Amino acid sequence: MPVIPANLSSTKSWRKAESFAGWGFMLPYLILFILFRFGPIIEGLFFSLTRWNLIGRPTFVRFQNYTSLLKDSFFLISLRNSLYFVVLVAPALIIIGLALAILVNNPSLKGRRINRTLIFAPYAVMSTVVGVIWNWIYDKNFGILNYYLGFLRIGPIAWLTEESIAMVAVAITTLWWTVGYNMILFLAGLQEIPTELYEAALVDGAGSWNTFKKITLPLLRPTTYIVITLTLINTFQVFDQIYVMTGGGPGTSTLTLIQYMYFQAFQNYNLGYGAAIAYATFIILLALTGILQIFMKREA
Amino acid sequence: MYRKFFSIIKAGLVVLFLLSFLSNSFAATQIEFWGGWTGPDGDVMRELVEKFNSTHPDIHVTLTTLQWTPLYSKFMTAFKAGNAPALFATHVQELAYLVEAGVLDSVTDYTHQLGLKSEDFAKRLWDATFYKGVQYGFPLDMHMHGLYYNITMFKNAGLNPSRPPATWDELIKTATKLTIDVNGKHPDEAGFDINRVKQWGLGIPTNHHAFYIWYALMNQQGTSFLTSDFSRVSIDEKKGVAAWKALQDLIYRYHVTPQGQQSPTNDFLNSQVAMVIDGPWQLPAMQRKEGLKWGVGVFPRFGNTQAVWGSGHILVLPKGVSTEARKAAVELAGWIINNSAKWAMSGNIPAMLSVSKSLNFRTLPGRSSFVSMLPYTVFLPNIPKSLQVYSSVAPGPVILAAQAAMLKDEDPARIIQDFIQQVNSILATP
Repeated sequence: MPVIPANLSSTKSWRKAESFAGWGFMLPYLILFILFRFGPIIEGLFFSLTRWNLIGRPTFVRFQNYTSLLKDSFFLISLRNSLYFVVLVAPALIIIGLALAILVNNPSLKGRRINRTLIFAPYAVMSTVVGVIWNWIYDKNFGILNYYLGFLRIGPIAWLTEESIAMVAVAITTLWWTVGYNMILFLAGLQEIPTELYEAALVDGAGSWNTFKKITLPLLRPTTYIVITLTLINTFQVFDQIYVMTGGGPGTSTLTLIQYMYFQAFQNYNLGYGAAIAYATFIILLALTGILQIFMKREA
Repeated sequence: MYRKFFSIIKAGLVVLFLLSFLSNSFAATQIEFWGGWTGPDGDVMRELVEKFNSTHPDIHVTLTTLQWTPLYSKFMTAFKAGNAPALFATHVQELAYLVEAGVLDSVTDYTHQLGLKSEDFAKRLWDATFYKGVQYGFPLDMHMHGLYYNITMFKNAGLNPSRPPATWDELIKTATKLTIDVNGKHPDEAGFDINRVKQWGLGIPTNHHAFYIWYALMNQQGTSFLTSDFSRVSIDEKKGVAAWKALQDLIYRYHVTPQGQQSPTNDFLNSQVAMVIDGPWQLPAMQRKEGLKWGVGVFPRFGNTQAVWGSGHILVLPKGVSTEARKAAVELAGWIINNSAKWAMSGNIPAMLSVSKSLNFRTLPGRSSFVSMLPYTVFLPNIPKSLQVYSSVAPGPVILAAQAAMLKDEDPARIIQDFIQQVNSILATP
């Protein structure tokens, strides 16, 4: 690349040209982003202050939707269910994702390439297909999971039709489906750690647990932060698998926030109320990630 | 010389350009037709539309099929944007919602034009096309619950395959003989192992269709669940409890239906269940299943009278379409209804009496039992809030009641209390 003389590259016209080029590259995506993502987010805030059934015109009702939310038992149930789902699946996704990444990163283990692909493969399948497949696997009377458990004299377990089990069943499916993604993220982070550090630790006589605690974990911090935040956001807003597998049932045991929003906005055409649920979800999620940030910064 | 050549080319291009406008004005009227037929019935409608297009060169119809729930979302948004289809299909219990939302035009003028008369159609469906005294839809077909049964399993159990159970007691007795565990025992025998059953007697839906069965059993006892003006819920508790119990007992007392069944008709198609309650839309799937010998009986009688849940498709005319599109849509609707015999291949029972009474139709496999139920099919109350009350997604009151009864064996009195409270709160909000 030709070296640009210092007195040329610092000229006003050169910087102007660079910034013009920068905007030029950003503009196409920026326009689409504002039109289809950011703009509707702002519009959603406006709609959450109205009552609207799509056909008529929205009527401004100020904060009535939000006060109704606080008294809405289904909203509170869906909030509790969403938090329950996060607690069920997020720690497993993070810890198992890290464990798999460490295993797959180990150069002395055979077959790590093929295992890397196999573990990640479910992530390439669409959420609706995952739901349909696991519906068949989980069938209480004729599904393959209960068939094999039957040989161990267990069951038959009502995976998706028993209130106390359904959420766990969806959690297991979600773990199978997305743990590969976390594994890949952690793998990328692990491969950034210089191997000289491990060699030095070996020379110093550090055991594997100490090595993990004092070298791997601290240097993995940025990746861990990303994985935890992404996992929290995705699990809190779970929708696809629940919609296909249980529709929020049995009863309301798997009714989560976004599932409830779908019910209000697109089944009942209470679009204003649905927007309020969406914004409430957003605010709660913001608070959760804020707490997470404080917690992780304090660890440093 | 070249200049002259190029000027001739230019003139020719201008003429061609102008001619293209001429051909456009003679082009066919393009209209959209939307319906929720996503199974084999959708294929039948597609064939009908193709035939219409080929015999009507001045009209071109584009058929869009999508599952009913997203279809309504699509329809409402398209209507809002001014792009509603010229012809739309809906169910009888959703008519009130669409009319109150202000999206439909009445069809009274057009029925006269097409020569459609009430005496030519099944009475219940014709009446259901009216809302507040005005006719808003063209009657197309009806469908209701029937009892599918496996002829091979009947014979193996020593039962007469031409006499499927007609009363609730017969249903329980028959299903008991057809429920067999791995040791060959039935539920009424000592040593029956409920965890190792190889064939179940009866499959019952555990979703909103379970509520439809409850609704049928209520009507068989001469009652319903709304006041006559549809403004509030009013349930005779004794009869309501009896109806839920009848369903729950099949699972939890007589053990002829497996608990936690997710897709009873799939289980029937896979010969794991001997009977199943479902509608005529399954007929194409039954016919296609290799090696399955099946028959259809009427929905069993539990109460004093006969009644069965049903619904029907009607064709409606959304507002705001152009005059030519409206004309084309009316012509399409009339043509489809007059070709009901072909639509009968979808499994649905045509509302046109001349077709449903014809021998050709009645001898189609499985149809005769469904046709015999036409006179006593009951529709869900046609209320403006139907989409909310009858929602098949949690936490709609119908699905909550159905799942509490079938999956949890909840106390029926409690189910009814919760249902009354939930539906009344929906009906009360403006």
